[in-house]
Amino acid sequence: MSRSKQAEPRLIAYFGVWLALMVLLSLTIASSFVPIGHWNLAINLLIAVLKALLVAVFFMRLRDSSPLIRLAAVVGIVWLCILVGLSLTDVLTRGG
Amino acid sequence: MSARSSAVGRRSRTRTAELGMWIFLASEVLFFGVLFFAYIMGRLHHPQAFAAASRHTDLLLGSINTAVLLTSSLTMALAARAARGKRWRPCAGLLAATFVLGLIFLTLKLLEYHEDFDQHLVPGVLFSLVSADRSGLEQFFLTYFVTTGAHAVHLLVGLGVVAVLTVRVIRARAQLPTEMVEVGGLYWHLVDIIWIFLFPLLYLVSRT
Repeated sequence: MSRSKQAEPRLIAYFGVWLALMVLLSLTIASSFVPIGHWNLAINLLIAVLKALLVAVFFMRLRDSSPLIRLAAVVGIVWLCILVGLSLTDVLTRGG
Repeated sequence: MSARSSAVGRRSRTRTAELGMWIFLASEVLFFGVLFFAYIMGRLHHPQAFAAASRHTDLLLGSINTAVLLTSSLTMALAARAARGKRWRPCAGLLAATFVLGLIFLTLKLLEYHEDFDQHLVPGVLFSLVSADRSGLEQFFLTYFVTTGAHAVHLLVGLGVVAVLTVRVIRARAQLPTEMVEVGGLYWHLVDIIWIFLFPLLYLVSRT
């Protein structure tokens, strides 16, 4: 309902998102060559999440989707976090 | 009056189709989630081996492929935008561009697999990397082949979807429901997002 009232995003916005994705890709590759230990993993994952959000919010149009669709979009991630999180509480706390 | 009610019907059908695709995508997230969990377990138990093995992946091909796939998401999003505006000619062109970019990705991936086979990076008797933790190295490449393989199969399905959409847009035009391009695009973008996570986890574990 709300979508039909909203104006279509301008063409330039799509290229802006693409440019941001390319910059983030360059950053993640470049940062991997800087020896900062575990921070490499943290930066790579942070950039991956940002790229995924850009694709989901703009290219997959979650920005102007109904709450129902947004709910369906996050529900898979939420369940995945629960499953992985609970499994890791076992794996990470085993002695020896 | 009848025109208005059919417009309302079409709008709610659009949302239903999109909602259905999102629910399917959630199940896909869980499917790939299992593979990512296998990766987490391997990396937790064999941190050094995963770092060493990752250096044997082809960073150049992997980076080019990431850029190709991100660009294909742009052309797909633009195709859906063109479909919403009933601009069918650019829509067909953008879908064709998406198809070509997807094809380039798969071709480069096959080239890379060929390279991996040549260097005996496939786990098994002929596995060529040596270290104290050989099973860790093999586990990395097992995860590499299974995750990128599952991703490639999804991309192949995506190529089929985009090909059918392109032909139907060229042939049917006005009769084609715009949500078809939209919903097909959602699937394409998800395959892109899976790769967005695979790329740093497989190619960038340790490059310093």
